[in-house]
Amino acid sequence: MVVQIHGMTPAVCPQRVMHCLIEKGVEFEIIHVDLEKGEHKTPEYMAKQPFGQVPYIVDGDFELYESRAIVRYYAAKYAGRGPNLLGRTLEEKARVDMWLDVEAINLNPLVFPIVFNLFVLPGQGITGNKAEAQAAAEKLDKVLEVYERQLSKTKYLAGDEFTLADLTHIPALRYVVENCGMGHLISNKKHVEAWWADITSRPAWKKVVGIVESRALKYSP
Amino acid sequence: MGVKVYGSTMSTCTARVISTLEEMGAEYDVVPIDFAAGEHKQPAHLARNPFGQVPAFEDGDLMLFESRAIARYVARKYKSSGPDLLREGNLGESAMVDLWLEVESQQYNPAIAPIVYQCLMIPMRGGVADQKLIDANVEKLGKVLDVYEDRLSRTKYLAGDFFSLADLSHLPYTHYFMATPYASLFESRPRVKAWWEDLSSRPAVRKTTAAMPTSRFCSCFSVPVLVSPGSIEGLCWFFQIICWIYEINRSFLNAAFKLLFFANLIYVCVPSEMLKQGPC
Repeated sequence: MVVQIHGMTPAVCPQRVMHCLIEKGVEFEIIHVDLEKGEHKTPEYMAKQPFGQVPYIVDGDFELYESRAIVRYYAAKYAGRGPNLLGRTLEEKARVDMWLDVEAINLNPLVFPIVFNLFVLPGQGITGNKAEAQAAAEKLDKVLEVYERQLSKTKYLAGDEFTLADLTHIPALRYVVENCGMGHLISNKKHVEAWWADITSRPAWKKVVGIVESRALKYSP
Repeated sequence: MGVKVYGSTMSTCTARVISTLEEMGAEYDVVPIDFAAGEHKQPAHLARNPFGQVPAFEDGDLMLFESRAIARYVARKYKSSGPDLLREGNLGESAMVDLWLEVESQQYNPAIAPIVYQCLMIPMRGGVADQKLIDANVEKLGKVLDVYEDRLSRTKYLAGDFFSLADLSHLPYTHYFMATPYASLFESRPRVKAWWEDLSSRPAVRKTTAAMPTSRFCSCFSVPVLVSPGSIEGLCWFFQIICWIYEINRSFLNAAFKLLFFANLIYVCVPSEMLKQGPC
């Protein structure tokens, strides 16, 4: 049974799910939902994802939304396959959970105004609010200083292995670095820069980028 | 050695951890953090929570922050002595718990927290609430609660017919929200209302909220909260005794207290840690 990801591949949250599935060698197909046409706000879509956001997944009879819940699900379902993305001991799992939440609660709210104002809106021919983006970038810089201190002690955020806690950061930070002219937020921090270079060079992530750029609609391991 | 929670029993995020510890019957100590003195930004606390927030959590050599991550740890560690809050033995059920934990943190919390902050915290600092921000978030929260109402028409609790961490995680901000003028958002949705009544009546939850008094907040309209007659009387008796002991002229002190009593201008201020903390 092929997992269906309902969403648009350039969007951050579907990329998170694609990355996890590729790390675990799980076949999937993309059911394209055109955000610019508002297809994520139709009654049919919102019957499946009631908050009108992408993605949601269909896996046989099982359906799920919220990308961080989806990646947790597949990391647990295929725990014995591919890298261990959740931690093994009570303490390791707690550290993974902690940095997953740091991304969701401390980092993501700052990334969104940067990417929205400096990339998404200009892409639609609308001038974004540069002051709002700059204010968020200053706060993001401070947050990444905390990351710098952590990554001076451990190779990855939750310890010495790549986990979901690192994975969930990649899609949105990539837009900040590559499309918003904010690469200095990462390159001015020695350990964050090394971590970033490492996690974005993972073969699974490179396959995600390939899918996005080629507008492919399926993946087979 | 028991676990330690660094924070304030009145802080929303600290309460999230405390309620989970209570549900699991765990022994714990609360180590207060003095917000007024800026203790949360001092090196000792930053070593526990590098974002300078509360709570932080210590279990032997393990130091954690982020309240939802701490709650997950507590639910796993004490699994044998409390309810199964994470359902990790069942992939489908566990996914539902994770889903509704995400909904709480990504949809519910961003709408409810600004309302609580504007209606309760800002006036306490002597500020003026931003009514436009409140109105925008009341509208947002209403739409989120419509999703909840629909969900709860099909399952008893959010993740299924079982109580889970996903329900419990809603406690702290909802508790304070009920002290704002917008509690009617729950009243008008019968299933959401019933779910909240069920959640808030759990013994562990009542024990947690007993340390989260709402009566001490000033209202959105900055009406001064009246000091109870009992406490004024108690103060008067205290000073009477001091006067008898030291034969201080009582007439001045008596006059001062009468003025205070009849003017009723004493504000009850929430302890300063609440003023400094902000939303978490």
